[in-house]
Amino acid sequence: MGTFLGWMERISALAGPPAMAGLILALGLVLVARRWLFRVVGMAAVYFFVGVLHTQIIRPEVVLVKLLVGAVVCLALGATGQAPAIGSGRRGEGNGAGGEGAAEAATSSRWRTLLRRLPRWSDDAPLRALALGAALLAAYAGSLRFSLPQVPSLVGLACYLLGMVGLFLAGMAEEPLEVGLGLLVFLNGFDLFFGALEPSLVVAGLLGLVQFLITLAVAYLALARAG
Amino acid sequence: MLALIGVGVSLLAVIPAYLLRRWRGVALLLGAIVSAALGLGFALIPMDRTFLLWGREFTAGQAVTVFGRSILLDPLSQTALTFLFLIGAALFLLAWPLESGELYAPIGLGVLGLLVAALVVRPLVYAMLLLELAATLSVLLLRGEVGGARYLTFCVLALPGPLVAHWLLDMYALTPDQTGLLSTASLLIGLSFALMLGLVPFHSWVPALARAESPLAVALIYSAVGGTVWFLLLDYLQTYLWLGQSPYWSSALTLLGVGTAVVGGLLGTTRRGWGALLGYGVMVDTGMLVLVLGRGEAVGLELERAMMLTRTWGVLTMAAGLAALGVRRGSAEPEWSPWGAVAAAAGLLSLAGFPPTVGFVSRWGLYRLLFQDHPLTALALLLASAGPVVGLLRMLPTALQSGVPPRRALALTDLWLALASLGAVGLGLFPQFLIYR
Repeated sequence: MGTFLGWMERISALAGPPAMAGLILALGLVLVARRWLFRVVGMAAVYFFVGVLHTQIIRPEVVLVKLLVGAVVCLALGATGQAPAIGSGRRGEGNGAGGEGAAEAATSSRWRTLLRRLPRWSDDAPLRALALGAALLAAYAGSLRFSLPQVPSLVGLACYLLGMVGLFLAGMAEEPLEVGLGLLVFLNGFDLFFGALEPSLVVAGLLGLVQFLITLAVAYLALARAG
Repeated sequence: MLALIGVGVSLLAVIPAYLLRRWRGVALLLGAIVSAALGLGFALIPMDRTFLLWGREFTAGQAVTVFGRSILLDPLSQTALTFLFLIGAALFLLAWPLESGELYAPIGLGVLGLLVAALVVRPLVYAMLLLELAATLSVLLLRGEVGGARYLTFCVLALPGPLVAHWLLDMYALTPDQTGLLSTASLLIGLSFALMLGLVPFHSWVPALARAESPLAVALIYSAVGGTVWFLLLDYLQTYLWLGQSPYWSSALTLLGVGTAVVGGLLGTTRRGWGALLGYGVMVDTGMLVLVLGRGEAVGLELERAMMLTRTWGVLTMAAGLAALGVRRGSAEPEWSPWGAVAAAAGLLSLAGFPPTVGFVSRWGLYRLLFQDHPLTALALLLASAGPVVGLLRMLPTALQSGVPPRRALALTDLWLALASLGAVGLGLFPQFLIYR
């Protein structure tokens, strides 16, 4: 436990602009990328940077619990997204090289094949990037106009940003798992704010349980939908 | 103390119900027995009665503290708990022949336990968190169509409002001159309940849920989860008296109520399937309930409770009918279920407040209340009620084209459906058994 708390103290040094920049990058990955693995990695990074920001307002032990909840949630999301029934539906919509025929690849030059294997953006990537920009702008304006009480201004900005991106994600989602990502990002933003208002362990535990149940529910809905 | 026992027993019953899930009937019967026993216990045991537990003497209505939070059973919670457990018992009995899912009993019991905990825990901030847990757990009963994800989204969006409002009210207690805190808290609480009740313009999850999901799972969400949201709203109004005394409260609720009922009625005239009709019927009824709440008088609150009982009967009857129709369609047998169609029609007519069904009884009280001061509002609500009935008339020819069913022996399903349908009409003819006691 002492080692973990030592780590928590070390990562709390990142709280501030570095954590905010990391959070924006992680949210960009969750919002813009289409390959499920990238999005889950982005989600894990979101949980990590939210945890780092949490160190400014709540006790390190509680932050550790929140990071553990995030790890379990990301593992569950990753495992569900890789399930054969869901994975088969996703193949071809991602930004990888999947879907191209082997014969065509054989006739192409080596460079062209290599270029094709590089990650490609999906058709709606510009729209999603625009949504991220809009969320950033709205969050910045919101945090200036209606600054949140009890939290530092940077944490307030992070709360607004997480809420906005969560709403965008849930609104643009086509599948239950994507809706779940949006709801979890939204709840992370709320948790970051509410942790400062109500630092009770029971509330933190119940909010963690809500996040875990949401993950379970969207995973179940995705599997049921895939049949 | 009795409240804690209720929560504990219903949550502990999840374990045997889950272990018995392969024997679906046994698990559902266990759920029905536990729920009925707890429901009758809360209805019949006087709250001042003392009893011995592990050598200590307790009073039934005594408050207990768990993890520093108070578990309290007041008269409103007692009514709510009886209501919830009896709904649970009815749903488990109906699910026995009509629901094919193995997890209906364990998840249903878990949802009931969390809802009961939400109704008895104080402060109310924990109630909202427990309600959220129950609503999320209930999603595991659905089939993965779009309605489930939408319902989950609206429930999650509703969570922050009451939690932040709780902190604002704590701040207001310290600085009573800042009346802006009260306005913000009212707005947040109102917005959250509008999301959870599916009021216009947050209504899209209500018909979407019923359109494609399992009818009895939807009935659990509409009646048990929805009923708890109503009881919590009444709890909020009792705890924070200023909320109902706000000058905008009555006008806002009238506007939202009439809007929801009229939109539900208009959409109810369309042919979007039997499930969607259930959703539109519920929207009309929710609109009326909100309108009654806005009246704020003692008679309004009495009417509110009566309408919640009659609405539940309508929802359960119609859902059972739809489940029977779905069961028949899903099976190899080409026949359809005549009692299923009767129950679906009787339930919808009750939700629409059509005489002589049980739904009409409470609507009659509302119309009488409204015609004195607001005849135009009453007329709009009457027309809104006609919407789902028009939808039913448009759906019936398609259902009847299946032909005359061949003769067959009456099954347990038919008995349940017949009882529910007869109840919807019988209680409408003799409402004193349901309301005026």
